[in-house]
Amino acid sequence: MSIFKLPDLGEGLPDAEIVEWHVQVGDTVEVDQPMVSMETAKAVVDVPVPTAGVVAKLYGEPGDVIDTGAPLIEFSADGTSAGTEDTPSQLRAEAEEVLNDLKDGSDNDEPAKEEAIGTVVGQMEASNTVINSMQDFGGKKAAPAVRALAKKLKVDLATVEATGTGGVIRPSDVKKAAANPQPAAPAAPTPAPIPAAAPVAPTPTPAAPKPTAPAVATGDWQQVKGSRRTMARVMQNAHANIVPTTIMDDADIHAWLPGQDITGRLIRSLVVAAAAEPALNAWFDGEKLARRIIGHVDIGIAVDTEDGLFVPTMRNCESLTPEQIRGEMNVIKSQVKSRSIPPEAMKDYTIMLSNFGVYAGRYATPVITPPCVSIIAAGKLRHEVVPVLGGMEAHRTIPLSLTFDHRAVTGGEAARFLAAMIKDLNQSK
Amino acid sequence: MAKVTMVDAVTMALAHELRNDKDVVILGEDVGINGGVFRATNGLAQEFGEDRVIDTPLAEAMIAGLTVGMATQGMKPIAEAQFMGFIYPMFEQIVCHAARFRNRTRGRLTCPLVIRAPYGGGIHAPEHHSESTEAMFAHIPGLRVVAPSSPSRAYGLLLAAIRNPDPVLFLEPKRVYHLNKEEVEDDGEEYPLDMCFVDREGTDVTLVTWGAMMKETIEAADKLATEGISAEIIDVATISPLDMDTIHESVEKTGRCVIIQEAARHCSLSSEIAANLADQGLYNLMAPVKRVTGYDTIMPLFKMEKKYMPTADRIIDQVRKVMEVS
Repeated sequence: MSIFKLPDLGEGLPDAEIVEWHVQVGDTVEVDQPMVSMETAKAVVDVPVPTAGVVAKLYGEPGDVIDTGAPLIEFSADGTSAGTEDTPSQLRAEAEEVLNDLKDGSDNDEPAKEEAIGTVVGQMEASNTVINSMQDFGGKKAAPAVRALAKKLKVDLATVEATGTGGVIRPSDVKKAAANPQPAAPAAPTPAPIPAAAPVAPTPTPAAPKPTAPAVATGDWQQVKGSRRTMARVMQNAHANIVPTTIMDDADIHAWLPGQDITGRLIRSLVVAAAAEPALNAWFDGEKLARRIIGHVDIGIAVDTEDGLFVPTMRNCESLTPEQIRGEMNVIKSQVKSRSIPPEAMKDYTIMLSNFGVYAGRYATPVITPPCVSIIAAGKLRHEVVPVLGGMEAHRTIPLSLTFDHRAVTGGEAARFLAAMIKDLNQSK
Repeated sequence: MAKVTMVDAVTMALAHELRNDKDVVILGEDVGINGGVFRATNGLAQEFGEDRVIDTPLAEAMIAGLTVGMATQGMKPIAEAQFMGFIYPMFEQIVCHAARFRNRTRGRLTCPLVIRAPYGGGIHAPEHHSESTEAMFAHIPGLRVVAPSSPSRAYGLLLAAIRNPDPVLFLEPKRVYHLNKEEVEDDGEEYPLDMCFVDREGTDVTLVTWGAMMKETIEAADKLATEGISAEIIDVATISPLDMDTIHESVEKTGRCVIIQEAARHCSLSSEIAANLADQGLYNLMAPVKRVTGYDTIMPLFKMEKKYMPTADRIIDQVRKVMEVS
């Protein structure tokens, strides 16, 4: 007498449904003859007779679900069943026992019976337990993944409108909120009263107010004075009169030996580039359409202060040693700080340098001050991945932006000037 | 909204993309007529035709190669490796081609493919059917590795994987294929890749895990809560690239970290997380980073399997160790 238990039918599922019996109680059967068709998740599998004998008992009718490992059919030599009539709950208990045997198998346990072992993928735990991944977030429910999405898109979940069932925030709600940040209520800009003595200025666009605040620009109008006023005039004049074109590239400074001074190296590279392409170290007269190539390099160095922009000049840079350049820089800085810079030191430069990268920013479109025809701006140093023979390296690079006056300088001249700068900056010292 | 198991959620996501993107095809052994060894592609060949849900010969290297070819030429193939233990013939195609195409062609071609593989143990399976070798793939630049821990995450992350322009290895923890159900709406909403999910907020210890181990981790956290220990649970979800920011943020808050994985310990994802915490987060730590892992042995057969698999008790032991330092 032997009871054949339902093996795992190759899908790793916890149970299977009887579709049709091909044998009946009392039948004498041979090994491998068709015994029963079982359905597991709609795949019908034919199970053959495992052992020759007489069918003593069938443990289910078509439509019944049999757990993997539970009895399916009993064979005996004479066709009589040794088993009592099993109730479904007994069958289930027996199946549980088989599963527990499997689960709790320890070193000391008897190995589980062969027929209870999955034929291909073993036994998976299954349940109908419904889990809930939603968590309250400011009175609204959001799944962790949705919260992660909100974090990625920088959306405050507290402000998101939940459209899911029961106040659940869905991913689309977050995306919608990210695509439509709370807009500022559009309102006609209201110019604040301007002091009578002040020139009529265009009304600036008011800063976007907080979503809840009315759109009213705050703060008083201030008359700009001194260097800030000079800056405004010079820039307006430059914008009105020159034809600026900017090219940008990076200088790889990976080879620099320790102790190199960035400003000093930039100044030296400008001197080298001016020698290579003198057209950029020049003045241009737009009225007469005349240009003047200048034989020495006087660099106007842009210095930022609370009071505005100062551009003191470092004269004859082509003849300065690195130490002298450093000394000149220190003098310039202290003079700017103490506002003791003589007016003649702030004019007649032949080329301008703006090292704005000490703060932030990679590239720029710096503005040329006429009659100069070029300005170089150096952005923030960064590490850049550079392909090299056999792999990749991270090199320090300086981003450079060269604005030239296209009335006086050709694109080719400007590009060659920049190339000469970069080549010099590539040098180790 | 349907209450579905993880394997149902996978089928839902596959069907959704087949329906909405004509470039999507599925290929693998027995994925078509038979519906897949775990029934993940059940009914798809019948609904979308056998030219879109393609039964292939039993030849993993060919399946992977075919997938790379299709993906680079504008299709979005989803290959099924029946078990992670049989993925190694695919390894050469994945590592030498799929992961490198974008780099090799300087961005001219991408490789928008997904390879799905059921992984992990705990189901009393024969040899080669229980491996967790995600770290082998996580080590490969250019390849994304994802492992969902719940039905909704399987749905949302699989959609994102299919739509992603780069190759994704999508590892399905088969032990929890049928473990429980979750309400998942078949609305085509994807979940974000490359991010960890904070599943439970806590203040005392950060438990980091992924895939099927989420079950034991939650059990451990529940039990620890009764002792007054508040555990934060992080589901890594995307194994590579790894979102260390979320883990650092959590450890900055809790000061302690226990990483739970089914895989063997040596050179594993938990090694990378622990190294990263030592490198970037040392001053946030009040205790050593502990790991609850499988052993550096071949995954045992059913009789010893229970000894191998991390349990809630093993997690609790390690948490108690890190809680001694306060």
